[in-house]
Amino acid sequence: MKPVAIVTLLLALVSIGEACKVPVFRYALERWESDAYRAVILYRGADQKATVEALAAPLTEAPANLEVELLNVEALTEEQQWQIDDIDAVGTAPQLTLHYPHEAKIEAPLWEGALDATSVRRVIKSPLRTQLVDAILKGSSTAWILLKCGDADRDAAAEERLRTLLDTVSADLTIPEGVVRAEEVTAEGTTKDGQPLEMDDVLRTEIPLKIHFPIFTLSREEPGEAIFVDMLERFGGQSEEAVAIPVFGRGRALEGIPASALSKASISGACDYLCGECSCQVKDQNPGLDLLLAVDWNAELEGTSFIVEKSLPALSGFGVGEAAVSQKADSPADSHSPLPKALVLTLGGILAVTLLGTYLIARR
Amino acid sequence: MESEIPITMTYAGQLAGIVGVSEETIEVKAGTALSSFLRNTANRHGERFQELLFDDADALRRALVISIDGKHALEPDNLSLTEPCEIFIMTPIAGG
Repeated sequence: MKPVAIVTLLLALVSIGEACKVPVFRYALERWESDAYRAVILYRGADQKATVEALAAPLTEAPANLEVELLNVEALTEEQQWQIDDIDAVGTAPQLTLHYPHEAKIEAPLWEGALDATSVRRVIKSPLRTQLVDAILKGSSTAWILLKCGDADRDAAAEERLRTLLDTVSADLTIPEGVVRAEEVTAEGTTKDGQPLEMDDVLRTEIPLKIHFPIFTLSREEPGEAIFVDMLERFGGQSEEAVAIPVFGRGRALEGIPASALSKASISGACDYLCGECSCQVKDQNPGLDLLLAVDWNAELEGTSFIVEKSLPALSGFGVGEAAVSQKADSPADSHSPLPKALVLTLGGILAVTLLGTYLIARR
Repeated sequence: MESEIPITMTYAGQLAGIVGVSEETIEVKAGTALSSFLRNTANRHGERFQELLFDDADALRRALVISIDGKHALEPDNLSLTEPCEIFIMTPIAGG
């Protein structure tokens, strides 16, 4: 075997070893913070400020993944003037523009219109979003939105097909082996039979862990869902067919699957990813985009969160010394927890590559 | 002579919009690397399709869901197509 191939193999082995046992849908719920949408409110004249602030209060005060910016077009900085397309079009009525999270790199706003009580309410809340959140917090693996096309017969057929496929797929799926539930962990941070734990494999909340896929149908014509329907356009909602959109974690949605693509392969493929081991814990390296939801996820999960303090054994032999690392999993969304397995594997990989390099040099 | 096998491609969201259909069948030589097959498929469907599947270094994007016969492919770069199968792809939601 060529040296380069050996090195590649070693690094690949290190990479493979990093998968954690918690399913993607649950890892996302417990560990991935939601990306923020951005609402820009433009108004004309300082005398409007108080009125606009009062109107916008539900947005600014909501526990939502939303950043709100209030701008008086008569008092913009030069930089702000460059960023706003058509300042002169802003009349006496304040305007609201809603943007996707910058992580999506989508420049076009998802919605624009008058700032009033109705638009403000529809930006952050809608009946279907409330149902999605309830389902996820009760342990649903993924909540599927079926965005209807408007043809009753085709919509009914799509819903029946989706339900049948999800039932079939659910019967074949299992939670990955090796997930550690809170009740299986001792106060010392080991299993009950004294085995050491990888904290990445431990659930951080006591929300039921199960394979369950509820379906929520959504009409494009429902007034209370108007802005949410616009939000779904980037998830495949522009299709003329009904579209099935999987939502998991803290409202993260994957691309929609059009009715004509609803098959065992597509539904099983999506569910296998969502219920499989979280092979890449970095949120940005996973597909999907967060929906705008008025939920304080940390507060919702806090009541069920599981706390363990664990002193890790010293990493001898890698030049790390005798220091122990204190690791605390006290926040459901703490994405900065040490990764002992990844650290050990990485150090092991570096050591192996170093030894191999030394060996090869010595041979010359 | 290497035999050809049918690969059924199923597309979600953006790819379905670009291709114009949500499913197509493509013949490929048995043993073709998955990444090579996807590169050729992307080349046929244009720049936007290519951008969704491949990064600036011409490597398959990490944030893709690629499944083969309903199983999520954890390491698509290491796979070859040896038998007829169904490939399903979901891309990151981005751009424009």
